[in-house]
Amino acid sequence: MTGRLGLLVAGSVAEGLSARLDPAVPIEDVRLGKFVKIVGQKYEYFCLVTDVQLDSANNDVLRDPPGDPNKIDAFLRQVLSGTTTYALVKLKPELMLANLAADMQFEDADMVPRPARTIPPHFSNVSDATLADFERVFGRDDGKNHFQIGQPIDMDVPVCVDLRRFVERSNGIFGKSGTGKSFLTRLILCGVIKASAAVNLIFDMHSEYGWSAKNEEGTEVKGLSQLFGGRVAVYTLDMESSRGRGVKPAGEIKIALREISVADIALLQDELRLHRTAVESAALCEDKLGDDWVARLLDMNGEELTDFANLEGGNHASLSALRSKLRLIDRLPFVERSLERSTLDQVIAQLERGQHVVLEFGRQRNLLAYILATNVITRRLHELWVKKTERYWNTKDEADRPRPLMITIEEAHKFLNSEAARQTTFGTIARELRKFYVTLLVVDQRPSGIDAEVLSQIGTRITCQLNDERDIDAIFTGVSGGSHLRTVLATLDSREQALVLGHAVPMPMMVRTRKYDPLFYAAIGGDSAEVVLARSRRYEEIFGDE
Amino acid sequence: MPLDLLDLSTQVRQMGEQLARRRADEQHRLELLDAMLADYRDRWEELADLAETVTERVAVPTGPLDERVPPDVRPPRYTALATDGAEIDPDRHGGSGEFYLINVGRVRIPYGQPERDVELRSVSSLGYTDEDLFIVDPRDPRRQVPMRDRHLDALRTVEELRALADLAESEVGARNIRAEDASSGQEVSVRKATAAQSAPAIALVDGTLLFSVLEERPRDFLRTRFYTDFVHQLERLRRAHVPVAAYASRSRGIDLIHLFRAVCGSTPLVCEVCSGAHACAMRGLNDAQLLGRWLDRWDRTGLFRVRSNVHDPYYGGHRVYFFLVNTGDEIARVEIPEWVARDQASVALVHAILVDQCAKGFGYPAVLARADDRAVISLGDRDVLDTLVQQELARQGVVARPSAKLSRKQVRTV
Amino acid sequence: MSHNGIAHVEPGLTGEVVEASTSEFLAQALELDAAPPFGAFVEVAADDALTVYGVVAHVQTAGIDPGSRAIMRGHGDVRDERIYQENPDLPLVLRTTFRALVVGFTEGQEIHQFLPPRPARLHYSVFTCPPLTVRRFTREGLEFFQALLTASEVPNDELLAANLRYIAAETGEGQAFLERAGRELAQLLRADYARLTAILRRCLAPGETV
Repeated sequence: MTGRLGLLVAGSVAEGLSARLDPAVPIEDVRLGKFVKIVGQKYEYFCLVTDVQLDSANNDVLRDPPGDPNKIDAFLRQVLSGTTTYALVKLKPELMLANLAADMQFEDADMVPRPARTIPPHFSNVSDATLADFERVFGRDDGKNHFQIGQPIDMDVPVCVDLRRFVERSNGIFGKSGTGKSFLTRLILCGVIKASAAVNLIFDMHSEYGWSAKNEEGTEVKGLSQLFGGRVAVYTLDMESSRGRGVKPAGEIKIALREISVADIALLQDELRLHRTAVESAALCEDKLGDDWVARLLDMNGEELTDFANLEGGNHASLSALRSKLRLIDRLPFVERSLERSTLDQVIAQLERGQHVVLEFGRQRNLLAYILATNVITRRLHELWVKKTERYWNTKDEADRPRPLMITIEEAHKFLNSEAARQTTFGTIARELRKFYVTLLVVDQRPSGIDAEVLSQIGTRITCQLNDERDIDAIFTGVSGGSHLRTVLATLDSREQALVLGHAVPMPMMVRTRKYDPLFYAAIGGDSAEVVLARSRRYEEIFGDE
Repeated sequence: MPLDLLDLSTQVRQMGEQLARRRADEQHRLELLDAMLADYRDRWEELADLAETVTERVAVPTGPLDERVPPDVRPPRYTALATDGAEIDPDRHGGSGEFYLINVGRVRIPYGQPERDVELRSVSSLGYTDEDLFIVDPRDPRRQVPMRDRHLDALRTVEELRALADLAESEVGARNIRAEDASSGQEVSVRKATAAQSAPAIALVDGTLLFSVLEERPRDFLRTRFYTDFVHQLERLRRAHVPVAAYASRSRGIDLIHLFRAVCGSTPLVCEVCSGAHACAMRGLNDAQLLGRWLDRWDRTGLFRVRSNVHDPYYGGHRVYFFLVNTGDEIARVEIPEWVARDQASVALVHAILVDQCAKGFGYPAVLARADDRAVISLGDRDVLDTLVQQELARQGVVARPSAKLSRKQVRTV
Repeated sequence: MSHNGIAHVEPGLTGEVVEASTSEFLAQALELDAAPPFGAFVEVAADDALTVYGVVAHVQTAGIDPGSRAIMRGHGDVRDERIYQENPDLPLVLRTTFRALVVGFTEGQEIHQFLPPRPARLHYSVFTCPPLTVRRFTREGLEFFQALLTASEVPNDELLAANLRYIAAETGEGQAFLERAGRELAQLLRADYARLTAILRRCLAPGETV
């Protein structure tokens, strides 16, 4: 399907380019987000289609259009289309690259795609991008640094993200509910795992990443540990639930009360329905009661509480409320008063060794549990990684260099809203930009809920369909020249299409997401496609077509 | 624009008044003459005898004066032959050299005979030899008359008839071939007759059969030269059995007037008709006005013979007769040689065909109009000829010098 | 009907050049009333190497002599063809002439759609172009439309429409050609939509299948 589309006729760097579609090219074949190439005299420009317009060379046509059903008008319409009446395609030039056919010397810098700083001359040829063009821009899926995330909407070529650059920053996967964020997340994680670009810790709220899960049609899809075997360990907060689903977790995670800090409480304000004063009270408790403040507060009876309040100048009502809310935490199955040995250490050890960890929540998929556990554990990890990094800076010994750690969290806006961002580790991690070798992969359907400053630190955004204007605005926060793509974003199909932009791709790209299916398993897992297909056929024979 | 239009317009107005008066007067006189005609209607033999005694040229009646003959239905198939001519005089004023050009238009139109071709041709001939340029007295070779002006006209007239005779002979020849093809096994004469009946032909010229040749001295050689030749062509036509006629449009012939003048001696005082008017009632009138008024459209008068002392000695059996015919727009005069006049069928054929021809030709025989078209020499044609001649002279090394008058005609000096 | 005595007529022979200039030529038709149709392609040699192509832009029947004029000859029930039967001399004093606008030429193998270096030669024979020639000429390009649109003293729009109908029919390309031609015209007449539609409407004969 590669071929010429039309000619460049107008435009500017600031406002984008206008190309006139050739008469032979049907307007309906050109969709928003299409990847096209413009060949200038010196450079080639890679662009996205950001708008399609109807226009006419002569306004008289529109005042007196040939609209009758008779033969003559039908003939007129045929003739006029593409000549007097034609389509204009608006293009945003993203990258420019040396045009090797041009008769001139290029610097090395010109030989790789760079952001477009100028525009091609009038009447430059506009055509579909070829497979070669995609590879030049996005690289080939080589199982190492480039990972295919999908294909362009109208072509059968791979679009790859640069995994090295992906893990250099925190990233986000966004989209309304039901748009396939979890599949995208699985894809990305598989890519990162296969390339060993970073070690992953996934806080799996719905227990869908570690082991198999069902997709919307009810088909079973494989989990990370099924695909990668021993390289991925599954831990759980709810052993019973995990076992019940046939998962064999490597261990159960528990949290001791003393691990809970004021910051955690602050983060849980909404979930616990705590008054703001509660946080102050918590701070007071921690200050006065020490590390075990939670246990000690919980153990106080009414009198003791009153005394404490009076003694330390706290608000009794607030403290009381705090205490009752803390009971909710206490009652969480995975929260223990004290722990002899923390299974968390095991997790940490595995992460240090380069093994990826999925933490299932089983039945504890409520927000309270999720936020609490995630925050507590992440804080610990972060502290640890900071120490390791500082040590590495001192010794400068490669062996001391910490492994890059990527933490996947869902419901990210709970952790990264403006208030929380200041207080939680997550905000810190995001802002640190992997200074300490920790990055986030946030998965969220309300990006507008995420603090703007944090958003601007998010390196790569992979977005499925969003409707809310504010959510769409959020996607482009911190990205230059993104406004052209708003229309593109708004028209994404509800499933299977995504917009990728940011640090890990040289230019924004609209893709049909790669299918998470047996062929993918084969590509990731190393099985040949035939084996996988045969296996799935046998599965169907036995279990029937689900 | 040298005409003084302002002055002329005054004169034209005066003339108009005069013309009107003349018309009125004419009408009056014609009424008088009608009475005279009525009187002489049956006394035509008396008039015929009288005519023989007159020296001037007069018309001789051959039947009652008021004879009116309607035309027969035209034959479904017939062939009309016609010729006409034009000439270029040896140019006294020009320097191209001594020569004359005679251009004869030859036309043959077969009507109702879709299988046959139409012929529209011009035959141009240059006269430049000594024999061409001078008419020599056969009795006295020193006596030579240059072939120009009136004499050239006469020559042209003869050439027209010669071409007509050529046409007639080839027509008959072709017809016989067709007849032979069509009907073999019949008697020759029968075949010829059948052929003639199937598509009769007539030959036409414009003007008169009684053309004039100026003689400087009586019984000179010029008339002999021209009339003999002319009559020879008439004889060829006769032998070919193709009736020939001369057609004069809007005839101004006065042969009949002359006859009546002979009756009254041209003295109005004693004339019963004029009864003392100061001028003869017939003054200024012509035969057409006299006889033609009571002709219905397409009718012809009876035949009149022309008694001409000039022509009769030469013409013999080709003595000229005429009748007048009403074409609707005008009265035309048709002249035929005696051998046609004596054959009623031929006269009727000529009449019927002329009627058809005038209908097709909007009042003038169509075939004659075509012949005239082919004969006319335009100014452009003259220039072409001059150029041709000059180129040839130049090739021969002869320089042509135009006369002063001609030069001035071509370029007006101020 | 005789052809001036030419007994055997070559296929396609339609007339003889009687006037010629760089941009047009006038030909007398071989037979009265038998000129090629308005809008048709004709060709004539300028010499051995050069063949000039023209489009018939004007057809006229009149007297051969410049001064002569046709006047009504019908009377009674003598009308139409009977007039020609009654006056067999008519075809000899009338002639049908057609004027063709020069739209291109070939020299050797190349077809060009601009004016030739030399005009057609007087008295050379004019032929209607066979369908193959028309197809080759129009495949070469449609630049000649400009010549038809801007010629003076011809009904330009009618001529172009007639030419388009002619090409569509002669080459058998029908609707496909009309669309291609229509697009070319849309470019030429982009400033004059009304004129464009007027011409395009004339291109489809009524009752034609699209």
